[in-house]
Amino acid sequence: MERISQWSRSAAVALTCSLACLAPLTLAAQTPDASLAVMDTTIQPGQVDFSRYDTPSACAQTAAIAADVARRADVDTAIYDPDHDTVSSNAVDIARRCGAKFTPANVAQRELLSLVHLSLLAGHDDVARAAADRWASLVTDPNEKGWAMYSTVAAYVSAHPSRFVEAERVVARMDSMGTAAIAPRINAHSLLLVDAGQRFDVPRIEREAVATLKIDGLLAGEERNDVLYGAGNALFDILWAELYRDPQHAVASVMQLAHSAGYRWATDTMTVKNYLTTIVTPIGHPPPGFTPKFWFGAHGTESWPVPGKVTMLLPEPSPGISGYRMYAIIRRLHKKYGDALNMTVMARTEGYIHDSSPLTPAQEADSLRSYYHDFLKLPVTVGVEEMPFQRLPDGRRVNTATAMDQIQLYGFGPLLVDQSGNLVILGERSQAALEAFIDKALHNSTVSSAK
Amino acid sequence: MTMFDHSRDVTAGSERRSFGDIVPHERFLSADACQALITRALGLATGGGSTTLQLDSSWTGNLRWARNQVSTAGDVRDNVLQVWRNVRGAEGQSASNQIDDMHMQTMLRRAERLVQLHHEYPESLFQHTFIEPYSRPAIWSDATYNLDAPARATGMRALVKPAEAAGVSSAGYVQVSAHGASTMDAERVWYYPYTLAQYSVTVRDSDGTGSGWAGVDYNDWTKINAAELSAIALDKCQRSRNPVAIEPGRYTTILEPQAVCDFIKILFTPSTLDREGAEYGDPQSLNESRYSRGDPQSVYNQSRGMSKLGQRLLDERLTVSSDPMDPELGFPPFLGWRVFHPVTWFKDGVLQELAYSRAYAVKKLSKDTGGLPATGSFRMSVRGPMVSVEQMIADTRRGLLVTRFAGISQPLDLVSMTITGYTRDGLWLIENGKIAKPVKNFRFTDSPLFALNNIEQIGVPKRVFRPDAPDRLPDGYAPVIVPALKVRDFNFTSLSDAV
Repeated sequence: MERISQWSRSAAVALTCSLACLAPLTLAAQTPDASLAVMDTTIQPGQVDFSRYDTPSACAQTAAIAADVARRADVDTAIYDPDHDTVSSNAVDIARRCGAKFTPANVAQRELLSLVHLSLLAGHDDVARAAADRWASLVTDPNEKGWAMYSTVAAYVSAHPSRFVEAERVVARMDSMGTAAIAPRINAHSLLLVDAGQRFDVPRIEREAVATLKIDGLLAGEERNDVLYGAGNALFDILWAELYRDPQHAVASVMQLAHSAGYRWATDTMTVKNYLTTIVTPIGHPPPGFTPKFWFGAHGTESWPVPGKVTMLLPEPSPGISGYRMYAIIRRLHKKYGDALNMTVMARTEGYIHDSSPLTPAQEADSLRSYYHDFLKLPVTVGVEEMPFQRLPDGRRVNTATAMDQIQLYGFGPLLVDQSGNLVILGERSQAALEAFIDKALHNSTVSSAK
Repeated sequence: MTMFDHSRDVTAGSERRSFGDIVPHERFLSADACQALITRALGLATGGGSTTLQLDSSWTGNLRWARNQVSTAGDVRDNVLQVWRNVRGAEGQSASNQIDDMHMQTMLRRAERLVQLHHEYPESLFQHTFIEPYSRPAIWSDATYNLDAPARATGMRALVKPAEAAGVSSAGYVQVSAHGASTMDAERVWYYPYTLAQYSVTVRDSDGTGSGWAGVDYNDWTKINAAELSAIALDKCQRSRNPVAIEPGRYTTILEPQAVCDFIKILFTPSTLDREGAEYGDPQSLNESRYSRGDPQSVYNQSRGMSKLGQRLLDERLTVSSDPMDPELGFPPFLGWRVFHPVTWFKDGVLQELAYSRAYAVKKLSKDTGGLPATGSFRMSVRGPMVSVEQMIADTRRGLLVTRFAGISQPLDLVSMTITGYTRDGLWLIENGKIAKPVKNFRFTDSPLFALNNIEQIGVPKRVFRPDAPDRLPDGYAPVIVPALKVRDFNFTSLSDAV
């Protein structure tokens, strides 16, 4: 959580803008103009005349907005659950009624991708498939065809729920194009890799990651630089998957898979191996230094780590516990595991919270407790370190890094500690992956040291 | 001028006097009307959350003339209303100058629709607007409010007559206005009425070689001696005829107060005085994006992360302050929920304060305040002897006398605050203690910080013409009081064809 700043700042900017942003003075009559009707522009069924929406893109945009608005009504939908998320019935209704007049045969080529999106929103997957196939058939240049197919893959994967089976069908056709569409292919496999990661489907992660690395091996020069990030992400996805399979041999497995895929490292192999080893070294050992002065237990005062429990540590500020995406994960994990999983926010005093008055460390710690327990209503234990600071001659407070700050691994995000107090995984922010590691930790009393 | 306590804070519940009894409101909205406005808005809002209104209700009367004849005369009444709706941390804003129910409802619906399209930041609900008391400056003038169209026209005829008699052409502008500035939500209504008056006049000779200008603005029309200003402009026009070209270069230069304001005002704008900008490179900055540009962008930046607070940057005889309660400088005491406090930016030439927000006050200074906003309005005070412009001229062996500058836009360099512009409406060469002859205008390129450290003589601070700060206060109002200055080595870089 980034304390306060940017939201309060945006409000301040709004007020600052205030009169400054106004139009020049004009002579204005105060007489009501009876000819002006008050338009209720809320997007709801029955209130919008869809006859004015003469393209699939207009309908898709309208339905997408309605879907986003509906999703925000429930804070726990902030995280995308690829297996279960669906769009709201309101958005589906809009997509169906607005898009009823469109078919793959009666829209322009440039509108076919929008028709894919619209049909997926409406749940008309057969129409989406026909539109996607027609679009691909109309494009003759191999590279352009590849990008067209990549766009349909993106539509399938980003749909709610994602249609990854259909996406895989399209990617298989892209792969059959060989070297004609390398860049679209590597990007398409990256999308499938993201989808597999959201489910923490280890075999699929390995398959898509290796496919990505293999295609990367076909790229050269500037083209490789353009898409390199995809392959880089694939390496970390494999590392996390291998840590789940066998933490002791995770690094070796990653190196072996990359080698078999013909991946070309940007530096020498030993440097890469050492780097990956550095990342996984803390796993299997107790997490270092967190010495809170204040403790606020979620269910009464508890020490940390809680012996005999699996614990998820959430370093604050971000990226450990940041925004409603993570809050939704926390609530869902609590719902699934209850008291078997202890979740602890690792916080520090900074002299303020949310633009409130300057506070003593005890007041600030209690405000943090109130923020997490009373306001966000998160089932977490809150530990608060006291942040040392100094003052510059001009009065500014300059915080000194705490022991927690100095430990690089906390910068990765959430950390999972097993019942023996040893680290299981660090930095994983996918709900599915966290669940997989938690399940494993709950069934193993300890995890061996990773080397 | 009627002096009265003309503010109201509904929250305080101690309304001291009824505005209706004191300020005539037939041309702009009263505090009671604003109260009714927020009540209506709250009733029309849908979907929960909070509603905030900001209003500048105003009447403006103007008269413009050119070639000794009226070209424009008008009365403008306006209500510039902004609405903010905040629901679950998502905010939408809408603005209009119509305040009837129908338009109010339309505005609210528009803001509410924008709420739906904006991200929700529920963290913002954990915060509360910081409310602090504001001062009550005497910035209402009945004389300004009563200067109606016939009075303006009658006055204009008298002002033009001397120019007509001299066979030259006068062009001028008179504007008077009255405002009710208000910020409102369900908890409170802040309301402050004030008046503004401005007069400026340019006189040109028939062959277009001579030009004179004078102008000033005040809250109170009776403080503006329009006849004297017209006479000054006429005199400058006649004395600036047939200027001769001289070599550009560095001259000892006497800057009349208007020229001083034109030249140095950029040092005291809210953006220049911004403390976070001055602390460029602070690794714990509240506003990281500002520092991603890579280069310092503030004249008040000393080194990475450090401002020049505590350093002497100006001549030690100069003090710069702003205070809404300054009887000669007064300005509206709040904008939105931000309250303007008395502040001394420079004391005896030493940088004492820079502007900052409440977030900065709490997080960086551990102060529970609303921050220290700047307005762009300032008074430059003088410690030590002050001399008249005439005395400065008498004490000058060779130099220039500048009426005012024009064409100053963005700084050429933000760090040294080097700016460029050109002289207008009267530039004279001084030789051996006397004005020798009018000279053709110059373009200058210099920094106000250099000039303010090269001062030879200082005049008596005077209110100048500065209604030209459109992004600062309602109606672009940021009054300034500065002295005339005689500075060494002012850098004129080329001749200008301006008149």
